Amino acid sequence: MGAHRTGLFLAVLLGAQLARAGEASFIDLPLEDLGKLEVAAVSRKAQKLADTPAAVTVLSAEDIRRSGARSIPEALREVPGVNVAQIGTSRWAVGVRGAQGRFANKLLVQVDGRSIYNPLFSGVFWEAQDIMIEDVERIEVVRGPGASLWGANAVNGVINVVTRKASATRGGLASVSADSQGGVTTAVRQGVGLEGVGAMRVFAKGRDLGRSETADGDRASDKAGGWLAGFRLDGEGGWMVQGNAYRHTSKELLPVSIALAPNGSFPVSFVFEGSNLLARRQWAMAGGDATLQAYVDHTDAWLNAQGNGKTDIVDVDFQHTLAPMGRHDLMWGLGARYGRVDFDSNSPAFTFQDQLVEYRIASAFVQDEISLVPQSLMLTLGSRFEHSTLADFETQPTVRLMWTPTKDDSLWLNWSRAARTPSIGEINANVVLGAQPLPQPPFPQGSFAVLRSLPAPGLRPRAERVDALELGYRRTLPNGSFEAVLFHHDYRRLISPTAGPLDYLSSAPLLVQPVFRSYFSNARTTGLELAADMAITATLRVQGSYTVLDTQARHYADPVADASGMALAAAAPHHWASLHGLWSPGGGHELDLMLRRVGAVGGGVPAYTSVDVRYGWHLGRAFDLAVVGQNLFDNRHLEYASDFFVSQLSYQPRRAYIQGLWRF
Amino acid sequence: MKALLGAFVVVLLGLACGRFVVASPAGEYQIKAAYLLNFARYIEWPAARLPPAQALRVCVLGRDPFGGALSALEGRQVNGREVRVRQLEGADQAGDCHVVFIAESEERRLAAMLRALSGRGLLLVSDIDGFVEAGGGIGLVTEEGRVRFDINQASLQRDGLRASAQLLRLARSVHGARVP
Repeated sequence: MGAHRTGLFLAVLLGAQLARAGEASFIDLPLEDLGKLEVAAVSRKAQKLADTPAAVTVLSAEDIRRSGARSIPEALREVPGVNVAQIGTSRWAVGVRGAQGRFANKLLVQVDGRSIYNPLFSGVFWEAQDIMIEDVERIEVVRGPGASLWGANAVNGVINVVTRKASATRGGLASVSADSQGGVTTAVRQGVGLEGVGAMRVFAKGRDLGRSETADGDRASDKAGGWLAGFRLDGEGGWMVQGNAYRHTSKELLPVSIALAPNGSFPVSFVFEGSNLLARRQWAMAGGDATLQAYVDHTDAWLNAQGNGKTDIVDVDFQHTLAPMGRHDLMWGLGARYGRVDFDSNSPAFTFQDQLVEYRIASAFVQDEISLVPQSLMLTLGSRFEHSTLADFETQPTVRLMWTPTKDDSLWLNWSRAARTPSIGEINANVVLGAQPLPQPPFPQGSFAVLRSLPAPGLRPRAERVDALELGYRRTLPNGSFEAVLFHHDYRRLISPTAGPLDYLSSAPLLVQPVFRSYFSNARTTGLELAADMAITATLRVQGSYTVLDTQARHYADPVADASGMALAAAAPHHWASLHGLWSPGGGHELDLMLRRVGAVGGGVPAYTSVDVRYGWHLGRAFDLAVVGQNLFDNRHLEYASDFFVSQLSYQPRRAYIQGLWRF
Repeated sequence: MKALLGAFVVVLLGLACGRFVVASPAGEYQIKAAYLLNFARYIEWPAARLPPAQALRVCVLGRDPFGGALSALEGRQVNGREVRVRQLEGADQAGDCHVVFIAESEERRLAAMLRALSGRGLLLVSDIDGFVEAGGGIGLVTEEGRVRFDINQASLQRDGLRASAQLLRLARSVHGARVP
């Protein structure tokens, strides 16, 4: 069917539906009946975004539930500008505005204000993160730099996962789901009210996930599973304490050169164990609001028996929003963090120059929202000043101008600068990347060069930097919203490899080819993000998103540096789109149809289209049933080929799962 | 794929032109508007605050999320009073209101706003998450596809407002209830 015919058909359909949508009056219903009324279309939280001069998407609990997502990365698949690729069973590559990859290092991710960005490898180990998805209240996705507020590493975006207050999760909940690959996930939660104190919930979750497939349709060696347990206590008077403990394992197979392993592959098992405790208090201060938050976080990661990295973080954050003064709305804050990373390896393939690294970060931020023309023109000036012992002093400013000509339209223009601090791995790690056969003359037969990645001699750690420009338009409609954002990011001092001289001192037939890491390369990205959400009839809602992205890396004379730049440019698709139809015919039935199209990615990942369907049924207040089919019209597809840690390719098969949820 | 994009472009164009502006049917905010009218019905204001035969004013603070649904309240009768709807530009204008709905756009300023508005005989209603816990009067909560409400009895009492037994009975939860 051609595009024109579909368009025409849709327009006719919409017209007919609109004409039919007669308005029933709910105004006169008595109080008793209002609470029984089923909401046909729960609106997106677009309202509170209308005043935000940034590209922000908020996924509500309802959006997450209707997407059928069982993990945070899955829930992000329909957000414009966000590219999500499943690497394996519990491994994900999540990138915002490009720079995607398993170790996508320019995206800050926080859960209830606690950073889950790993300082050892600069990025998020999604396989080490699990959450009680039923208790997530919303996920806020800020595209573009958020560094002026959130600090370093919020270069391309910030993802804030916010869980419900304990007072909103009273009662018990049990959820069981089973997938077609044989994986079973169970979760239980109990919420209680504490007289005179507040409310509390405790929860536990165990998961065993269905494996991916190999290119031939065999089961891939990427078994993953684990458990999570925790609590959240919300007190009367504005304080909160929460804690989590977890253990997750994830296996994968590394295809390595025959020169290094006899059967050409090396099984790797990651184990992540951790616990964290966070406390927050909010109070009135000088006519405004103050928040003080502190947390401790411990993670212990093992790579087989060979490597073990222990990370401890202590973080304190203070924020004060002042009472409005004339045209000014002022906010300021202070932050301090101490981190300690202890890395221990008994494999020569992976070593650290300094086994124990301690670092400290001190930061301050200030932001002023100035109403130039009341209700119409607003200027935001802000900056974060940050000193890290891993990098230099960084100023991360932003200037944002927003024009709201009408109540329903907003137009904004931003300029921001953000920094990514070098990770401890980048400064310290000495890693074998692989081996390459050497040409027979001049080398003896069977000679190999072992590629070793290490910091360049005399490396001065410096933060990567981005300058970002953004032009956005948002329109709020009575029955939906529309958003279009144009952006241009200019990156400098990106970490990049160069080839060092072949080390003839190492013994033949294995010679060492060093690959030096330093901060020098430049790149640019330009793109457009479109999103729309609208209620077409009382029972049908459609959400769509489309992103087009172009990445250009600068060319270098050094072949390794040039190849690295080209790989970066091809690491994200040029375009991707999603369309989600939500139909709620009543009687507690729900039907969702989700279409996604993702363009090809470098490294041999072809473009793919996936079709997912979800059917949900509320059987009264006590029981919900959901049946989800994913990737329905495709035997299997590949979403990702590794950029650095090259593991066996995992193909995502056709999958189904069924979930039962009880409330008691 | 082309068809999908084509359909998508049509939807986008429609949205951008704003041609599909229809009253959203059975929407969340129509139900919430109906709740506001019912709250006005089941809450008793001190006589000094709301003399007999005076109009009852329902005000919205922040970006109006009702999409026109509130205008249906205008001119209706509640306990023999006429209802008037007003959009406020700031908390300082709330003086002659009786019901104040605080929109989600004000979430960031909520604590300061609650301090400025409490103790003035106003019924504060909002659908901001954690509203009653933060000290608001009645919080609207959308849960499992239904709109329900929580009451902070202590906040209502501080404002001299009396909630009827029926209202308290139908609430999802009542916070700060004091045994007399």
